Amino acid sequence: MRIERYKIGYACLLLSIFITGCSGNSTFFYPDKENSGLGIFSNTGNNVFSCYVNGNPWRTQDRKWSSGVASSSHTYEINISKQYTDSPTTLLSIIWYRSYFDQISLFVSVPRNFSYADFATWQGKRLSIDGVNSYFTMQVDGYNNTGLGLGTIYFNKLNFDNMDSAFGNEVTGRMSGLLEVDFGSVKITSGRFDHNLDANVIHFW
Amino acid sequence: MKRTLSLLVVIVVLLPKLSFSQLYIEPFAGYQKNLNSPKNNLLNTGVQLAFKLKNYEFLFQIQKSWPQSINGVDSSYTTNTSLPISAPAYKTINTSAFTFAIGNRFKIAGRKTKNSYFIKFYTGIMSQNNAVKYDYDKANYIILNPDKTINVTGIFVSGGFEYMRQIKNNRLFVELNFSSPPSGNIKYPSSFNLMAPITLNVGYSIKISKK
Repeated sequence: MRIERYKIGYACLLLSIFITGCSGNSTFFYPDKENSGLGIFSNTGNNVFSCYVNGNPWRTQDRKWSSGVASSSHTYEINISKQYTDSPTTLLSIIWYRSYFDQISLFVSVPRNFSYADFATWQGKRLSIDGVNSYFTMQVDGYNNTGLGLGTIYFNKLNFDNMDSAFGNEVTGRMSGLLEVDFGSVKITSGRFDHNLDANVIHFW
Repeated sequence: MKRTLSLLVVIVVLLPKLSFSQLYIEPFAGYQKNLNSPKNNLLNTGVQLAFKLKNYEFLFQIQKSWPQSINGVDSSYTTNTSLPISAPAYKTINTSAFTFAIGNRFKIAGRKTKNSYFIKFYTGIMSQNNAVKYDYDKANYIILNPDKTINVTGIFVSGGFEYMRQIKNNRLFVELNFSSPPSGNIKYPSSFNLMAPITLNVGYSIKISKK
């Protein structure tokens, strides 16, 4: 009788694990004591972007996943994509999400055949975002019609592995750096980002 | 908390027996080398009470490792195009520690001579402080992977060997001791680990009572 109870208990435990599933968070936010409300500037894959928007702290959502029988979900703080086009140039976009409707984006005009290897050459470089070939946009709560932003972005680390994999679905990499943006009435300052990259967050078509 | 309680129980159980033993007070000083960081060398001082029961001694020890500065350089970066991309951020880490421990000293050789050899084991509470300061252009630059001040207090264990020479009623000793870091993790991506010191101490054991 007692053994039966153990068996039932064990079965319930397995069932609850099966139904509720597993979850995880691969964002690590370490507060920067010099800049209240922001995370530290790192290049270790903390999966977070934080900055001041007109002096108010803004940060991306956590990179989380959960899976179970009932449902499974993922949230990502960044999405990088290069759109497919027939024209000689296309847009490389980097979008940072606090939520789907709250985001800061960078668009850069690049050649159609722009590759991961080309992207990696930006490591160590400071790019001027001039509003002609590149620009920032923002869709942040409390700030409407900000238009296009100009500024500077610095890539401290930008490297990829498995760049030759078929369809790029095994590409992994890391991207970190700093940025400042001027939208005229709105300014993004002290921006710092640090992300692990894989096929879930980077798509070069 | 449970471990601290266990320590107190051990002390309470042993104290009645210790009251019938010979008592020594033992000031000591020495030099510590941090096994987790070759640059980190500290001076330490302390005092312990030794309750002697034949070939065994029970010890209460307090010890202070005095602050020592380690200088380093981290990198800071800027998006300001009128300035160089990177600049050095000069870093100073001041490491210090304080321990309270109870210990056991077992004589392993030299029962009938003036020269004796012991092995010692301690356990107790260690508080370590790693104070980090930076000197850089805070207005224009941001430090990459900055360190921050870390203060950890936890349980530690240590053990070592000791040589002791009888001088009239008193004793001179030299000991080599290996210590663990305090329990507990640094929940921050620091460039340094908690200190795990190897210590060389010289001390004098002064008899202050006898049976």
